[in-house]
Amino acid sequence: MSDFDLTPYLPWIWFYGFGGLTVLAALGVVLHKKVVYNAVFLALALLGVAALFITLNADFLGVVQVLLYVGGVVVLVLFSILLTRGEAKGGTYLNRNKQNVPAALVGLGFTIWASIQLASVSWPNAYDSLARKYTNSGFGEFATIKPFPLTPGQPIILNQTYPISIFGDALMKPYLLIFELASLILLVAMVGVVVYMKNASKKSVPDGSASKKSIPDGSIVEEKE
Amino acid sequence: MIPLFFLLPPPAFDVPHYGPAVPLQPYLVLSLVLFGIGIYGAITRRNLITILMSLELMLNGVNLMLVAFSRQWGLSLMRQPFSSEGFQSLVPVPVGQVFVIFSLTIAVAEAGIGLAMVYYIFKSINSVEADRLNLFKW
Repeated sequence: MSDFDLTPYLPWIWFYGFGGLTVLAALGVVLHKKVVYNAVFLALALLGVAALFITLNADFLGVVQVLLYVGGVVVLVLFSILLTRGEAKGGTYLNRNKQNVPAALVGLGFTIWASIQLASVSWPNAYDSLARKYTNSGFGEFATIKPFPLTPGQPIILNQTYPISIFGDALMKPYLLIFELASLILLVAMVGVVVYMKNASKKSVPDGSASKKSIPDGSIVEEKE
Repeated sequence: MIPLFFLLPPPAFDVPHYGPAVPLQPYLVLSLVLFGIGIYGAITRRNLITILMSLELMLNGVNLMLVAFSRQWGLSLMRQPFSSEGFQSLVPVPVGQVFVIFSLTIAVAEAGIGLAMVYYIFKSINSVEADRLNLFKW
């Protein structure tokens, strides 16, 4: 037992640990009754997804996920929960509606069907297909692309992680238009939120209840990039 | 006592230059499970904020799938930069991760707009339950 080598099982341990954590936290988001607990479970699920990104060699995306989702979206959700409190006295305390069984059937059915469809494909590997295409297999002089020096027994060594300069190159060279469109979308979203909030603070609650508090202008919590 | 998941075979799948790793299909199944949980929550929950949280879960499932495919296919045969040799070699091209960055941007904008709309609805009808949104009902 003591000489049991754990090392080749480590990817499975990370995957099952963080994946199970993520799925359990997502179930907590969906099933728990209280909204604040839902937000905390959402933070846990997003942290689990960030850890899964890191197991997929996407370190930068893991950090961005923690910064933007856990630090931005969850805080925004918590603030909006705070702002929309005080409505629970007249309403029902049922947190779910009567579409429980059909929704479970739809979600479960979609998950099972798509899992079967996607997991039954033997997905090719980019490395394998490229190596099969371009190894020195006797047809090297006919290939249009000059084959890289690759012998079947000896793979070439590359950088193992993605440097951040690759993201900078990709954002600034081939995806520049989409980048600008994303910034435009963020600007429009920000202006839209400001307009919404100015109108909402002028709005009066119809039937006079205790929650007629006025919000000063500009007190919105908006996430900026 | 060996736990049960140790009985799984050790990962024989080798991501090139990354060593042994979990293959692609479990990540796909996990992302689909996240997406299905998000669908369930978006249909059944009454609170609008929780519906938005379920949408975030669905977005995260899609992002996870994009990153998994990026690990699987994110290699391209191109000229190595800053090398004087004429050889083409394999360089990592994280296209899927770049897509995830855009998806994150859209998700953040969606969260801001959605929560502002929830607050507006709360100021209008004094409730955040989706069942009470019957202003257009005849």
